[in-house]
Amino acid sequence: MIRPLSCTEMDALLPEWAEGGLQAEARVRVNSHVQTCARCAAEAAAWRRLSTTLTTHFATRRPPVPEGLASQIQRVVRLDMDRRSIRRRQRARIAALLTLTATAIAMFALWQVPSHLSPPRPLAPASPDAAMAWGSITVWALLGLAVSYILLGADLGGVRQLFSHRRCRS
Amino acid sequence: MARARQGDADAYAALVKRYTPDLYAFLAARVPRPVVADLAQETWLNAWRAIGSFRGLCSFRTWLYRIGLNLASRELKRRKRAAPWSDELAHAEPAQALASERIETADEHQELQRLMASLPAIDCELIHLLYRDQLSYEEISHLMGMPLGTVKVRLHRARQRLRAQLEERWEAKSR
Repeated sequence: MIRPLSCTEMDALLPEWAEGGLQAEARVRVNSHVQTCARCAAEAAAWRRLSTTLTTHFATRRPPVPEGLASQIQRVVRLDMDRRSIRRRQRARIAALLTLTATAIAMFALWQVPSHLSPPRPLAPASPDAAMAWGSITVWALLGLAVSYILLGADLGGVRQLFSHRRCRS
Repeated sequence: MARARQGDADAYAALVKRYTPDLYAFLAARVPRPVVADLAQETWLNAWRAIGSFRGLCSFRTWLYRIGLNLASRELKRRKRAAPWSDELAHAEPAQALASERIETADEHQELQRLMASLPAIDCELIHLLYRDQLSYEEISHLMGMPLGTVKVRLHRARQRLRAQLEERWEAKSR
């Protein structure tokens, strides 16, 4: 058996009830109280009137949406999606290209190092030529990494335009 | 919604179609009319870029309105105007009343607008969110960053005040 609501409890619930905002169970309890209590029925009518007045007020003053706005927004969003996806692909391509270049440079540098300039054995005295060759390989590798970093971060315009141009035509 | 979050353009287009009229009305109450369409577009763009971060803790509409509200505040600051809810009725252009409305009804609307302007700014904003934007209490709470209990109490107080003032006028009219 559900406990009937008191008039004090009704006072707190009626505004929300008038807007249809109560849970089903609470709604049923309020409805049954309204049917038996003249005072709360009058209160309910007053809250309903306020709710209707406010809802009507705002509904009639709702600004008209410009024609085609939703379609225009859809177009703009789709354009943005395409651009961002192109950008992602460009970055991936640039990164791949740079990795390949850096690897090629590193391999070339290694190939240039004569076999007798290989790293000194633990007990053998260090050769100054070997140290210089390995130093240059390190410099090349660092240079490659720095260039990759700058290209990916700054997104150089030329390469971007090259890819964008191709993408736009398709 | 789930498909839109995964980057489905068609699903997102459906959301745009569904919520643009509501978003437009929401923004039109906050910024001057000429910039509303641009702001609506920017809101949808920002929402699209951030949709991966939408976790569904609040409704999509609330999340979208939050983005719109931030953009509207930024726009107003840029224009060196007051905060959106302190001066909303002053700068929002009133929508054209329907031609079929009677003069009496138009007077009632003006009266109601005056009454709402006399409420504290936050209460007025809450009334607008509830009746104009048709948000639920939970949605208002999320949007305004206010506890649910506070929203309910403030709304109750504001409605009581409006009701008291309106009833005086209704009684005076019926005499």
